[in-house]
Amino acid sequence: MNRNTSYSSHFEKAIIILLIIAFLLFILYPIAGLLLRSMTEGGEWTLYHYKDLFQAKNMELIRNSVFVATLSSVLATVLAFGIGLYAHFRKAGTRNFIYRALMMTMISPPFVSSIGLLTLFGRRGLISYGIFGATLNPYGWHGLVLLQSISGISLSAMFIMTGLSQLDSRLILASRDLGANPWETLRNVIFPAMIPTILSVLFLQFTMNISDFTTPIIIGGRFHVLATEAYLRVYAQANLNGAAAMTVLLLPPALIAFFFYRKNLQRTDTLSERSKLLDVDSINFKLPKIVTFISGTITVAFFILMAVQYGNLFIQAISRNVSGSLVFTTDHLNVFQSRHFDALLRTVYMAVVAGFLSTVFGILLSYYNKRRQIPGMQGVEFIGSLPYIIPGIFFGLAYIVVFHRGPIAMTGTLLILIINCIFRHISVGNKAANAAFENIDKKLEWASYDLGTSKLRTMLTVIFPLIRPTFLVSFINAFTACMTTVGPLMLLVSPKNLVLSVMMHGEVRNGQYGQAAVMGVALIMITFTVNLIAIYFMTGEEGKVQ
Amino acid sequence: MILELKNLTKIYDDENGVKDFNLGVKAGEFITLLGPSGCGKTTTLNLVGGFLKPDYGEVFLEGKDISNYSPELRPVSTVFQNYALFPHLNVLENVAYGIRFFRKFQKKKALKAAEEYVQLVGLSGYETSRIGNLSGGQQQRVALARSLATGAEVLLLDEPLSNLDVALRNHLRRELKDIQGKTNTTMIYVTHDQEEGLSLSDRVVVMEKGKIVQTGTPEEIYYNPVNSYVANFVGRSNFIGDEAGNQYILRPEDTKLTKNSNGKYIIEEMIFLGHRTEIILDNDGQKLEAHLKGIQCREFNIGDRVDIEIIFKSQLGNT
Amino acid sequence: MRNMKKILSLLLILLLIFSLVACRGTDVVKDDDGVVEISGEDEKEERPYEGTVLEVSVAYGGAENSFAQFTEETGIEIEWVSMSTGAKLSQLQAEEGETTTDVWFGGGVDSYINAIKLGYLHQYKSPGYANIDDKYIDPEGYYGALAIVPHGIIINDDLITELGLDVPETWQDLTDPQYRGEITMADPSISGGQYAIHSGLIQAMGEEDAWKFWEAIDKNVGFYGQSGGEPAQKVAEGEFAIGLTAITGGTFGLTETAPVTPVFLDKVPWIPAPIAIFENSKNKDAAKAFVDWYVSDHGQSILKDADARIMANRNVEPPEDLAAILDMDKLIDFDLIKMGSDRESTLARWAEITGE
Repeated sequence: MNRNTSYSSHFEKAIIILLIIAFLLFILYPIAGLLLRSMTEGGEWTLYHYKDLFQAKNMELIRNSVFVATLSSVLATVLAFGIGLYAHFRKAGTRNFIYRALMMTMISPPFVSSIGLLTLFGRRGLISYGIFGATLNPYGWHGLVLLQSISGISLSAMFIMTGLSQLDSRLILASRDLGANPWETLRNVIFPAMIPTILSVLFLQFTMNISDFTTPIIIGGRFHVLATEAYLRVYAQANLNGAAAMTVLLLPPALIAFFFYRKNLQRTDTLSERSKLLDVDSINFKLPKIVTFISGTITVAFFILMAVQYGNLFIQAISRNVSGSLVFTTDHLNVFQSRHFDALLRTVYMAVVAGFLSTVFGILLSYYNKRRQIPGMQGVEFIGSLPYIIPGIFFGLAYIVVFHRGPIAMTGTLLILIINCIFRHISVGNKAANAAFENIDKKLEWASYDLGTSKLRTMLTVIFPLIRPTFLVSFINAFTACMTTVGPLMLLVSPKNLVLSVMMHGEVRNGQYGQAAVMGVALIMITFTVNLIAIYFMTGEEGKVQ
Repeated sequence: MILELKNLTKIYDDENGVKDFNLGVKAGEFITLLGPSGCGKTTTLNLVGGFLKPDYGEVFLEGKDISNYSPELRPVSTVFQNYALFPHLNVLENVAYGIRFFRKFQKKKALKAAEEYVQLVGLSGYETSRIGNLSGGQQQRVALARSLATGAEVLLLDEPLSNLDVALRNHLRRELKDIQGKTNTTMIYVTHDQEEGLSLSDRVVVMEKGKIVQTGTPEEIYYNPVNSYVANFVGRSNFIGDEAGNQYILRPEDTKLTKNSNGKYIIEEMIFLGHRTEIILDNDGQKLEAHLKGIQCREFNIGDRVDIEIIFKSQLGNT
Repeated sequence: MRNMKKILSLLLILLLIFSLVACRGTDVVKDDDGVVEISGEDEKEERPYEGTVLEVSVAYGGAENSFAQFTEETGIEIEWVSMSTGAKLSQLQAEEGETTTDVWFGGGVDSYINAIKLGYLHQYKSPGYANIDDKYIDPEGYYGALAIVPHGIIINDDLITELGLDVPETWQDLTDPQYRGEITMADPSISGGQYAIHSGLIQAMGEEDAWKFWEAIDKNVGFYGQSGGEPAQKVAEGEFAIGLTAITGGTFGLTETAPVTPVFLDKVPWIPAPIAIFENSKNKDAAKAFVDWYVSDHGQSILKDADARIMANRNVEPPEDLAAILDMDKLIDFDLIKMGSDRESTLARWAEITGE
C-alpha cells in the first residue's frame, strides 16, 4: 500500500514536471527564440528592427488594428448576445438546435466567409449585382468590420448561451416577484449578471481580431492593419526579423486585453453560485416583445446568412461565376486527386491527435493549477495562453527558428505540426476545464482519497469521468480549430507534411476559388462528421454524469 | 379572508403537481404548508406567486381575482429557498430593488426607504456589503428584508431556513415570528420540517401527493390527525386498537412507565437523546414506543419489566 | 443505443488507424520501388537515381502537370508544395538555410538573388544553360531559368462593352479617366510580378515619364490585390474590367471559362521563372538531374505543355496562342540586377504615391 502510494506520487510528480517542461520547451522557448532572432542581423546583435518600430506609419497601423478589432468585437458581442438571449428563452428543443447550429457554423475553413461575402455582395456579387443590379464596394474598414463580426458570432453566441445557462433562474423569478417587469429584469438582473461573460467574449474576440491577418488581406483594400502588414513582410518580402519586431507592437494591446479577461474570469469565479441552479425551463419568463423581435430577427438573419454562405461554398465548388452569372461545372472536383486525399487524411489525423492531446494537457493544467493549486502552475497557465495572443504565423515561425537543428530538429515532419497545434490551442481545453472544476464538488476527491485511492488514481477514476462532457466540448473546439487553422502551419509545411487547410489557403491566394471551395467543402464535411460523433457521445452520457 | 385559493390545479407531465387545492387565509395569519418533498407545496407557492400558471382554479387576493396577474403585479412576495439574492448588488441595493420596481420609488428614495428594512432584520452596518461576503443567516435576513420591503400583503416563504444549521435555524425562527408580529404581514410558509410547522404557525396545512390531507391549528394536527399519514409525518406515534375496532393514536411522550417485575412490557431498547430517552417496549412481539423525560432514564435499564399508563390518546380520524 | 455507440467508436478508431496507415502510405510505396530497382538491373544505368525522392518548392502555376512525366522517365519521385517565393525565403531564413527541400522551382527572381546573398543556394551550371540567353540566368550559376513570364493586362470583354470602354493599347492609355475605379493590380511590395512591371516600365520609359505614369494610373486603380494572381481572377469574376497581370498558360485557361482576353501593350515587361538547387539538399545529384531535365529541349517542351509559357530554352518554340498576340520585339531590355538593387527606393516612392 505504502509502496503503491509513493510509486503513484512519484509518477504524478513526473507528470507535473513533464507538463512544465513541455510548456517551457514548446511555448516559451520558441517565442523567446523568435524574439531573440529579431534582435540580430547577419549574425550580429542589433536593435535595427526596433529602431523604427514607433514610426508614424506603424502607429497608424496599430490605430487601425485597435479601431477595427474594437468595433468588430463589440458588434460581434452585441449580435451574439441577441442570439444567445433569444435562444435561452426558447423551449429546450429550439435552444439545443440553435446551440448545435452555432457549433456547426463555427467550422470555418480559411477565407470561406470572406470569399462568400465577396461573391454575394462584391462589386459584381450574385446578390448585390445579379439581383439588385447594384455595384457595392466592399473593400475597406467597413467590409472588414462586417466580416470579422460575422465570423466571430458563432463562438461568442455559444459562450453567451453557456453563460446564460449558468445564471440561476431564481434571480429572474425574484426580480419579477419584486415588481420588476421583463424589461427591467433584463436590464437590472440578467444583463449585469452577464457582464463577466460579455467582457470575456469581448476580449476573446478582440485578441482574435487584432491578430487576424487573413480577413484584411481579402477585404481590407487600401485599409491596412498591423497583423496583415507583419504577415506580408514574412510572406511577400521575406523580412523575417522586421516582421517579428513588428509583432511586438501587437503584444501590448493583446496583453492588456488578456489581463482584463483574466481579471473578469476571476470575478466570475467568485460570483458563481455553488448550489444547484434552477434551470430556465422551470420558469415562466418571457422577454419583452420588442427584445424578442429584435433578437429573433438577428438570429434568423444570422442563420440565413450562414446558410447562404455555406450554400455558396457548395455552389462555388461546382460552378463558376462569370460576370455575375453562374455556370455549373465539375472541373473543380477533378482537382481533388490522391495528393489532396492524402493531405485530407493527414489533416484529420493531425487534428484528432492534436485536438485530443491539447484537451488532455489543458485539463491537466487546469487540474494542477485550479484544483490542486500547485505553486508555480499559475505561471505555466499564463505561458499556455501566449500562443493564442500572437498572430498564428509567428507561432509557426518561432517553431522553425528553434526546431530546425539540434537534438529536437523536426522541421518538415508531421510531428512539428501536431505539437504546434497542441500548444496553440491549449487555452481552449484549459479555460473550459477551469469552469468545469468550479462546478465539481471537491468532496468527491476527498471521498476518493479517504477510500484509500492515490491522487493519480483519483484523477483517473474520479476526475476524468466527471469532466468528460467538458473534455468532449473542448475536443470539438480544438479539433475544429486544428482542421481549419492556417496561420501557424503556413510556413511549417513542407512537401511531406502538407495539410489541406494550407493547400486551400494557397488556392485562394492564387485566385482558384473553385478549387479552394472543393477543399473547403471537404474540410467542413469531415469536421462536421467528427463533431457529430463527439456530440453523440456527449449527449449520450449527459444523464449519466449529472 | 385576504387570500383565497379556489380549486387550484396544476398537473405536471409526470402526474405530480397540485390537485383541487382550496384554502382561505386570514389577514395577519401565519400558515404553513407541510409535507414531504414532491407533495406539491412549492408548486402551490409558485402558483400563488404567479411563477406558474394553473391548469384551472383561481387565486383571490382581497376578493380580487389575480389569477392572470404576472408576478410583478401581484402584491405578494416570495422568499426563495436559496434566497436568489442578486450577486451584483450590495445589501441595500438588493433590499431597495422591490421598492424601486414594485412601489415605483426613484432609485435614491428607494435606497433611503430600504434602510428601515435592513434595520428591521438587524443588518445595520452591512448596507454596502457584497452578498458573497455574507453568512448564510445574514443572506436569509436580506432576502426577508427584500420581500418585506415591497410592502407585499402576503409573504411566501419557500423553506427559507433549510440551508442553515440547527442553532441558527431556531434563532431565526423566533426572529421571523417576531418580525411577523411587528409588521402584521400574512405569511405562507413552506417546509418539510414538522417542528418549524408546529412552532411558527397559526394554522398548518398537511399535504400529500398534491392534495390537502388536513388543515388545522398545530395542536389539532398533532393530537387529532385525520389519518396515520398525518400522525406519522407530525411527531412519533403508536397506533392501538380496541375491541370495537376503533383506532387510537398514542404519542410516545403521553405515557408513564412504572417498574413492575410482573409488568406486561419488557424494555428492549433505549435511545438516549439528552432531553428525552426513547424506549422501545415489547409485549410478545407487540412493540410500543414510549419517551422518558430528562433524568428519568436513570430509573430504567434494558430488560426491565414495566407497566405502562396512558395519559392521553385520541381516536384516529375523529376531529 | 449501447450497440450504436460501440459501432460509432469502432468507426472512429478505424478512421484513426486508416489515417495512420495513409500517412505511412508514401513510405510503403517507396519500399516497393526499392524492390523494383534491385530486380530491374538493366535499367539501373540509365536511371541512377531510381527511387530517390526530391522535395520541390513550387511557385510556377501548372508545373505539377509535368512531374508525372519526369518521374516516369527518371524514376525520381517528386514531392512538392506550392509556396510563394517570399514565404519560402522567410522559411529559409528562420531555419538558417537548413531546409529539407531540394529544388526551388519558379517564382520571383528577387527572392533567388537574396537567397544567393544568404548562401542558401547551390552553384550549378547545367549543360542545358548553353541554350538559354545569359540575361535570364545567374552569371555565377546559382540559378537557371525555366521560362520567361511576360506581363500585360487582362480585360473583361463583357464589362468593357457594358461600360462602353475602349480596349487599351498602350500603358499610357490606362491613365485615361474612363477607366476610373475599373483597374486592379497587385501591390508591388507583395507581388514580385507587379514589381517587375513597375521596375520594367521605369527602365523602359525612363524615370521621369514612368513615375508620371504610375502617379496617373493610381487614380484609376479600384483595388490593390495581395497576390500576383488576384487581379486576373477578379477580372474573370467580373469585379473589375482591367487587371495588370503576368500572362501565362493559366491566363489563357481563364479565357475558356470567362469572357476575358489577355492583351499585351506597347511595352512588355518580363521576368524569368528561375530554378535552383538548395545548398542544404541531401540529394544534389538527383537534383542536378532534375535541373538538367527541365532545361533540356525535351523537358522544356513537356513543361510548356504543362503550362504554356515562353520557354527559356531558345530551341523551344513559343506557345501558339502566346506567339499569336506577343511580338517578341516588344519585350523590354531589362536589367535584372538593377531591378533587384532598385527595389527599396522604387517601393518607397510608390508608397508615397499611394499614400501608404
